Amino acid sequence: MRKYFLILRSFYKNIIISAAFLLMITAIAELLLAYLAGTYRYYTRTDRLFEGMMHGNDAVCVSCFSLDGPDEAFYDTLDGMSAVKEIYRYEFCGNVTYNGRTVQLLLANAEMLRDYELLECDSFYSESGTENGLLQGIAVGDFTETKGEARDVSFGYGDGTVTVRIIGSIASPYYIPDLDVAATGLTSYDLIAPCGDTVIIKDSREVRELLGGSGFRISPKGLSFMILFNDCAESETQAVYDLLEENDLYYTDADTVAADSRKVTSDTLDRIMPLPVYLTLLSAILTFCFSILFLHSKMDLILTFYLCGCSKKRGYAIMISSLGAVGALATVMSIMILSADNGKTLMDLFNTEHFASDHTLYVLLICYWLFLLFLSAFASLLIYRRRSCAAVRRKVEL
Amino acid sequence: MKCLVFLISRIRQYYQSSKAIFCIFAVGSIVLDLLIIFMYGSTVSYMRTKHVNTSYYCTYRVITDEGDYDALSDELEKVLRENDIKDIVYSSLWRDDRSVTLFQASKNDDAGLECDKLKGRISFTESEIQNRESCVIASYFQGGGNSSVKPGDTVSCGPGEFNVIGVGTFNSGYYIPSTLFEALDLPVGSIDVILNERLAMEEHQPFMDKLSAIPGVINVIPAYGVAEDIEQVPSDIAAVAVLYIFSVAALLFLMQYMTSLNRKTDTVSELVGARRGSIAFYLFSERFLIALASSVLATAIHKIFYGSVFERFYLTAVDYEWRDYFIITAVIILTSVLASVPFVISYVRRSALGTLRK
Repeated sequence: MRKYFLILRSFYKNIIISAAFLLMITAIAELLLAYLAGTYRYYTRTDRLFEGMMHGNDAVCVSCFSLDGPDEAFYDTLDGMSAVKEIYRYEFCGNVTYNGRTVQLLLANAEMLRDYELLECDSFYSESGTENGLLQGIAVGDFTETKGEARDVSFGYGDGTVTVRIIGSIASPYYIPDLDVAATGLTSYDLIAPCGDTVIIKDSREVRELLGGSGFRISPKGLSFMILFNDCAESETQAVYDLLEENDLYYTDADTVAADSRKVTSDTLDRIMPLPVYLTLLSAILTFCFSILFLHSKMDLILTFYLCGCSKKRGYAIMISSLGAVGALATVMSIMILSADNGKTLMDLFNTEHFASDHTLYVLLICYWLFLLFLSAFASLLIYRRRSCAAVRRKVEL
Repeated sequence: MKCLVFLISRIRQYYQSSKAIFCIFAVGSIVLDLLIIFMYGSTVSYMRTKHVNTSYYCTYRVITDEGDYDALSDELEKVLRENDIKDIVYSSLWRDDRSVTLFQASKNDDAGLECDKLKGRISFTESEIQNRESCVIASYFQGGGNSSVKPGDTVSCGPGEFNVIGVGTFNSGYYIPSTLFEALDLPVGSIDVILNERLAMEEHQPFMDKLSAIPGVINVIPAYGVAEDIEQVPSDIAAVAVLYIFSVAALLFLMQYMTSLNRKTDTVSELVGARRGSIAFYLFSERFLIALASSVLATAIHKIFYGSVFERFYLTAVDYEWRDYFIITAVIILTSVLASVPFVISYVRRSALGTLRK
């Protein structure tokens, strides 16, 4: 190790400024590349979560542009219509406490979370939404660790406690369907949003009785809801649209939401892509140019190794590892920044909220470094491919 | 001429002394120039938005001194005869003791073109227009908060009471039929001229001048998008230039290496009486010449192969005009010379003759 360090030191002697320049450009390029990939990952994952919620059905997102939303009678009428398969909406049951943190209890249609990509659980809600007389819930946020296994959690409520059987949890970054927004140009990025410290309970008659018995008051929550349609005649769907219009409710069909989301993705990528692409290509070009420059300026050193008995193979290994050290250092720096605070440092750096970090980003950075290493190796092969170090040195001298 | 011959011979010397490095430098310079042409097209606002045709880029607002609807309408018709107009929206502020109410009327007799229907209707029926019925399309946001008005409600504002026929997503005020606007003789405070197609950059100012010439017009506010793009051009170009300085500085390390390899040429120059200043001048001149050659070559490559190759790298269609290529070439040459300042200074600080002796 010490020997390698000494070789590195002698290799970078006198060329440290240009090496530092290359390091800086490579590190910035890698960070920008990670930012671009993370942004793309966020958009694609959110789109997938939204499409997964539909379970392949036709659907509409309904926004209420009024202070008082539709009443229960409206939902009963809607639920009774032949075209309506599911209604996704939230109802607020109240706030409870857990380890000094306030946790909200939400009542929702359980189908909304069936096959949800971020859901970690061994079993899903039962038919009644209860188990051994306890409410079943899915935890959202980091207030409790379930690791996919069911466990009973007691929450403080007023003077007493309420115990919920947590059957699973929504994994980080805790994105759940968010029905708090009312807008005309809805996208999946409005409808899937991060949420913390929440327990989602299945909406059923038994659950409502249990909550009512414990003194919880259930009230509507959010400015929007979603309707999933059955495979039915157009007239039946039209009846639903007519009902929505009668009640002055604005609706956007899921296909339009998906199309608008794709447009947002395309516009965002179009805006942020040029700089990472530019710097990535620049860093690749520079790695190649600098590798040749470094090898040329370090010909004497390489010749010394050769004269000291260093084989051609080992000579290559020294050259490639020395040249690859800059890229390796830049990659280590980028990975450290990326992993700091679970990607939040990078998000702050680029002032973005739309970013998803996972192992693929690390793989991407390592692959990019390997590509740079390949360029360095190619550069050294280009110079010392056929001749020995001494022969090349002699030719340059002539 | 002598100077040019000398510079070319110096560059030839670089090539002969180290073919590999010189070729890499040349190819690297051209690739870098192509990259900066790509960056210019992708990041400079006005290049990115050349094909954007939203109201943000098509709406010109004419501020008038509370003129008469008929007179202004006639004048506008005369002035805008050659233009492709999508809609014209007249606005009037009604002031009373308690509040100020904005009334608007569109030539198309609807609630503008960019708003969505939230409740009821956002366009007037033929009978409402012909009978000059007192009906309004209300905005969703009223008085800083969400509107609670519904179709069928009656609102009392300005000159009387109006029936609400719908609610739209626009921000404030009420839309009324244009015939009613005329009948009420509301003073026109501003007029929004919405074009079907956005104007080209060079047509923008003449169009503004044409609108300004209408009698009674106080001011013309250009389409926000166009004005913003024009305002951003210097800073966008500066950003591209800064990026290029950093990029080209990296390539100049290669150039520096070649110059050092050929120090003997400068030694000869010094021996025959050249001052360090003259050597610095020649170094800057050769940077200039190389930058000029590489940028012209890159521009030619980009122009020739844009349709077949380079267009695929852009997510949206970007049109390059000769003016854009000229700006890029100027940026490349200036920044290349600027970036080479520290390299040239560090080189000429030590005498070539002295270094050789040492």
